[in-house]
Amino acid sequence: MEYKKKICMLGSFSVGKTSLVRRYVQSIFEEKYLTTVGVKIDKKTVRVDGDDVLIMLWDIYGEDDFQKLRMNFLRGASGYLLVADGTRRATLDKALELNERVQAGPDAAPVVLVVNKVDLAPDWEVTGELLDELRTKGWQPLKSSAKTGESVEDAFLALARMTLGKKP
Amino acid sequence: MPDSATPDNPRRPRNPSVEGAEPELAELRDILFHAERDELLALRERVHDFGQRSHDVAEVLPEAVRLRGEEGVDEQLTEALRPTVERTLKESVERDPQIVAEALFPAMGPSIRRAISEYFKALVQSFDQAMQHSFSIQGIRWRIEAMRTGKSFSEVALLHSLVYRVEQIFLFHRQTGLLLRRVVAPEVAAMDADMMAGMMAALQDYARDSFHAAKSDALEEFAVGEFNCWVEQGPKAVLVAVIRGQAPQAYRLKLREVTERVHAVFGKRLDEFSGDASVFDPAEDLLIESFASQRREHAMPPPRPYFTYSLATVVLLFVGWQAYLGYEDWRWGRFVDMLREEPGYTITSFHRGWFSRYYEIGGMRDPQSTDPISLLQKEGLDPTLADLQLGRYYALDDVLVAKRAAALLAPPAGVRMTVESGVLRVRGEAPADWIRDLESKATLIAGVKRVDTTGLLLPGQSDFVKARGDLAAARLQFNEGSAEIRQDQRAAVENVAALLKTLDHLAQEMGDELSVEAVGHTDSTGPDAANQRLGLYRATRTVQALERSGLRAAIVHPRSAGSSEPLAGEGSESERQINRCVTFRVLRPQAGAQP
Repeated sequence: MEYKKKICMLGSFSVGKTSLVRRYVQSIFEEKYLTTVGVKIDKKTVRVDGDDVLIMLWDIYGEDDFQKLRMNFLRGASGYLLVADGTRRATLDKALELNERVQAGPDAAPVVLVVNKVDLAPDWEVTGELLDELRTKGWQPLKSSAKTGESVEDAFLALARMTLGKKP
Repeated sequence: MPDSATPDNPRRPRNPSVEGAEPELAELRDILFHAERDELLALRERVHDFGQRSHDVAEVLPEAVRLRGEEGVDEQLTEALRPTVERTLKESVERDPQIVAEALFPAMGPSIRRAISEYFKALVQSFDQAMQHSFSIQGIRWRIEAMRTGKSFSEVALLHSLVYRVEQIFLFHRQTGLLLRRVVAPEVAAMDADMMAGMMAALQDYARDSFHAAKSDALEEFAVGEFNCWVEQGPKAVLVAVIRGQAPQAYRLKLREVTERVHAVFGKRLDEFSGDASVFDPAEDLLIESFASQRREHAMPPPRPYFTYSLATVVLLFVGWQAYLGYEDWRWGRFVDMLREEPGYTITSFHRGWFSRYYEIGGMRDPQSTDPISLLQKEGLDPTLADLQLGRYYALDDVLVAKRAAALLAPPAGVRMTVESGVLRVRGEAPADWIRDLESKATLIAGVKRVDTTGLLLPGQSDFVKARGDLAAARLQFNEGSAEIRQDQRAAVENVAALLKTLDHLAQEMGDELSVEAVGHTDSTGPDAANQRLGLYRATRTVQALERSGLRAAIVHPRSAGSSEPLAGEGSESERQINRCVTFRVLRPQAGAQP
């Protein structure tokens, strides 16, 4: 059995969303789509308990002071990959804020939080306490690295399971 | 409490064991269940009451239908209602069409207007294309094609203008942008369909956002190079056709139909879609249908070298053809010159049309002239290429006048006719009535001025002429001064007698009387009077001798020539001997030219 799922990747500008997944997805579109159209679509197949889940990953241009998130791109999403930059605390806040907005809207869906740039751990502004605090609120943040690839596959697998209504 | 369980109440259930045997138990039951029993009775009454039941159903019907509809596309209800609705509609139209017409009017107006405007749009489009191609090299090529195939130019132009090919059809879920089904034409290299579908969905959003368009608006078409993507957006699913070339506007309608059918068939599954695209596998048939029926083979222009070769071949053929025609022209020209010299032909015009192989020869021809077909064949020319426009006339050439006379008079064998400067000379032997015919007709023949029949003999005349010649050559010799028939001349006498009998017989056949003179001759010695007398004696003696040989009397008449008509000179004795003789001359009949 194969399922197709739309997953949106959200996060602030330059948290490393695109680089994070680059090595793990199939891609035919150039990255300039991100800045022109505001979205770039990649593909990733994950196997969950004998079923294939084809993830259509909508890499959405990061929200910043100049550009608002196009909420239309989220329509019909089955899950979100929320990405923050461990070295910048503000990006985590932004990610959580985006999540609140999304979950309040018509396209609420399961979400996996990834804090990126774990290879730069010493410089992290996002402290262990902060992450613990999030865990108490029900988050299960993953620490990832675009350089080492740490936790990227896990994040996709967790999302795929969640979209099928299974536990991460 | 009244007991309703009486026989006069038929609806009341009767329990004989309870009723008859144990009235206490019945009483107890009344006490215990009387409220429920009343309720039961009331309910039963309600169920059996038709009016009440209708009332109840009417109350819940709208809600029930609504609930049924909310459960998704349920064809059962539709199927159940269809016959009734159809029949009702039919009857209503039959009874009074005005009611339905009025109800439909607000909806029909706009649809008709739209259909008309679509039609005119397509018409203008095709007209524009036709105009655009009318004055180009391609246009000229199409015109030639139209002439060659017998189609109208607009038909040919349309055929070429509307060549297109639908290469791919995507069906994606509108809500998620996920690909549900994709169909690709054979031999088309396809990119990753899932990602393309996603990006198309994203572009829809992008376009809508960028132009602040309404939610129902959509990016209907976009073009890249020779590819056109036509998007047909339904409420739940989106159909995208990737078309190479220019598809006609009518194809838009086809896409719309397919989208509608997809919604009709898969509406519920589209609503419930949660990532399993395999449930849309049956949609493939729908997509293929749209796509196969609208496909056209892409017409490729012929590669240039072939065109050049063909052109060169055509030019060579043309030059060769012209050279051949030039040679033929020369041959035919020579033939026509010859024809001008031919008796009985008057040629006034000769030419060959442009691009034609046929030679037109105009003028006049005598019916007796040589057949032109045989003349053509003699020259080795193809008679089927000749377009002879020859009027008839009578030529005055002697040869033709002779032929004409021969055709008209049909001379019997043995008669020879010649014409010289309009004089018809007839020689030979012919029956008397043919000769009469000749004399009456000959001068009526065009070109005959006069008839000369002196060379013409009746049957037997030639024998007569021959015998007459023989007779003229015959001679009886006499001794000097004597009129006695010599002994050695007896055979000659018999011979002359036989000739005269033949001549007599022939003259009688010709219906004439033979008359011959026997002329007595003498030498020049002696006096003339004596010679005259001697000549007469000799002639008379000869006549008597002939009559003695059996010749009829009064045919031969004696005459004396004396020495005045000598047959030879008088220089020697042998010459004088020749002159002592009798000769014969036929006086009648005069038939045949005297030799």
